[in-house]
Amino acid sequence: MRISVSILFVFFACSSFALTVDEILDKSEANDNFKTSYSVNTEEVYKSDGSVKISKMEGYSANGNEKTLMIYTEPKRISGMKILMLNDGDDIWFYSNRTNRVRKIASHQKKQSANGSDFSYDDMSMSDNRKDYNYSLSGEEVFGDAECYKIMFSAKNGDNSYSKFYIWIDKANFLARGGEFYDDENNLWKKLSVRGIEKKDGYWTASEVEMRDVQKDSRTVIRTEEIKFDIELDEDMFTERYLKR
Amino acid sequence: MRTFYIIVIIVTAALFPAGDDNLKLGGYLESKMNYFDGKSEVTSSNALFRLEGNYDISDKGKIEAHLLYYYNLQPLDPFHTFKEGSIYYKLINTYFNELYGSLDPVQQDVIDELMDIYSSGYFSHISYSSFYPKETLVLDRALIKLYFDSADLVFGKQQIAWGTGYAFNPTDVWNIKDPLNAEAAKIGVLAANLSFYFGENSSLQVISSPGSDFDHWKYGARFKSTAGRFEYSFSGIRDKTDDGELLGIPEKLQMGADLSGEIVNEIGIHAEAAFFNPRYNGMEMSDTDSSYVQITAGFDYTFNNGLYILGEYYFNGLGEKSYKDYDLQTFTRLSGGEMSGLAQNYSALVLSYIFLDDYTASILNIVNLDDVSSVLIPGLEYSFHENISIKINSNIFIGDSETTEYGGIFNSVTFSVTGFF
Repeated sequence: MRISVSILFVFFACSSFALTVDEILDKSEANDNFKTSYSVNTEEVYKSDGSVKISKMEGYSANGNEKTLMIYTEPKRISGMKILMLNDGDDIWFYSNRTNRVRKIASHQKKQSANGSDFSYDDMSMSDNRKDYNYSLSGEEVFGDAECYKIMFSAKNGDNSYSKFYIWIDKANFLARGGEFYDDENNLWKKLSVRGIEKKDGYWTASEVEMRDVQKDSRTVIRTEEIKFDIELDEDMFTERYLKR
Repeated sequence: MRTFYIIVIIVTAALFPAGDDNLKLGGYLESKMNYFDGKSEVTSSNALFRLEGNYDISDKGKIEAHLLYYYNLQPLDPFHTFKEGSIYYKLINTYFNELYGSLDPVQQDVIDELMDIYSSGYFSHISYSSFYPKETLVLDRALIKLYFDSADLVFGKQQIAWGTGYAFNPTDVWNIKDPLNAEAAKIGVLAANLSFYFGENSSLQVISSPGSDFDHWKYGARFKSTAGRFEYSFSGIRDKTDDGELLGIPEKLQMGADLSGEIVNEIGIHAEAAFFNPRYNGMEMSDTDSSYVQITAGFDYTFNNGLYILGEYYFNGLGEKSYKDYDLQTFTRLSGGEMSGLAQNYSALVLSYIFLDDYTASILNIVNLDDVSSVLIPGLEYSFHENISIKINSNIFIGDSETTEYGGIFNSVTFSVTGFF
């Protein structure tokens, strides 16, 4: 899985004139124009009691992030578990090697924590937030050391994971630098930080993404150990057939 | 036989050089302690070692073997959990009385003497003693996968999971159920399983499972595809097995269908339906007098606060409407895996919630809607480490002890620790 969550929009081009919110989001999403990618990632979950849980996974994607396959390799408890996301995360299948059963999960399960982390499956998928949320440009702010556009998304209905969230998009490279996510009662729930931005194989990417749950006082850091773009991948990888192999 | 398996493991390990990335070994150890709140307050303990080996030969195939090694300290009587006077107690007594009646006087004398010893309590210590064999080795999977351009062949002992139900799976008829242990997981079936893939998400699976002769081979096929946000399948099976011969389960044809997907407000739904046409002695396969259906339908949903709920209804056309109609055949059908309950109508409810990061509280309630008895299974799981979980759960049976399905079973508490490697 390339380190990239639904709220991680990426660089395409810089422009000096005033942009509409759709233009900003279009430019941000346009960096997902790679054909394929392969990555090795480590996920560290820091609990409020000071303990740390570590998982490792391999990720494959095709057509930008339209098709994504995650394979957990650590810990042993879930080693071999596969998650297939198609149609930008709208359709998700789980495969358990212990039961040899593939199950398509309903959208509501995307709200669940992904492997006990502070990311939900919804965060991990590439869902088109413009479909599920109303959005507007709420201003321009400095986030970290970057001049950013601040965009607000508010839920169209009560089924969404968040009542609203803000995303800060770097004006220089249109990469998301951070975010804030609010629960049903409009209380701040999670904070996103994106670090280690660099160009790999001609594509902007982040080597570290952190999601902090301010209500639970826990945080999850996903680090990319290795990433390759536009490699040769068999399209069959993104099918139920491959999950069972 | 045990020695044979150990040799296989050693030889297998020796064949694959250390550090071979294509070889993956894993599994888990599970240790359980059970307490039954019976009149004699029975305890039992079990240890399970599961070894899972996978070897990727190339992009053309794979070898997979899963071994289960059990060590059981438990009562000799597999039916020790049933209360005296309960439905199960009466059914088992009926069976033994019939068996006893069929014996000649000399054989009956031997049985009488054994029963006297059993009644003295002597037998209750045998299975716990160090002299009694307590180890069981089960080969859950031993298979070779061969990958072709548009098809995959899985040849050997394998898990074949059909259906979309959670608590009840009428179309999940391939894996083998232990007739003496209702709680044991189904183990894999020896079969040749050929799947053809076409389109983006469609497949046709053809399966045959061998028996003592071709007449006792089990054959089946399943077509699976998607439509919008739904997955669906249709299946057909000709079922005549040697297990069935031993348990008195007749040959039958089965036509099934299942689907899963979601409806408004992201609510997940699933359903399974199966039509069975058994052929008892003297019947033609075209006779449908004894046919019946089994249906499961359910929903699930995750609330924004993380609470997960699943509900399921099960109609069992092979079950009985009244407890007065339960007989040996009903019991055999249940223990043989032909149905998931003695009665006709059941509901299942699951609630699950993760709290304080590492704790999962859950509750499962299965209700026999015909005699209004139920089993309530509250559980608490603690993730001690990424690879170690500690769990405690209880089986609480509610209902009249002599006239209901669940009321006649002793309550129990189970404590288990599982470590993955």
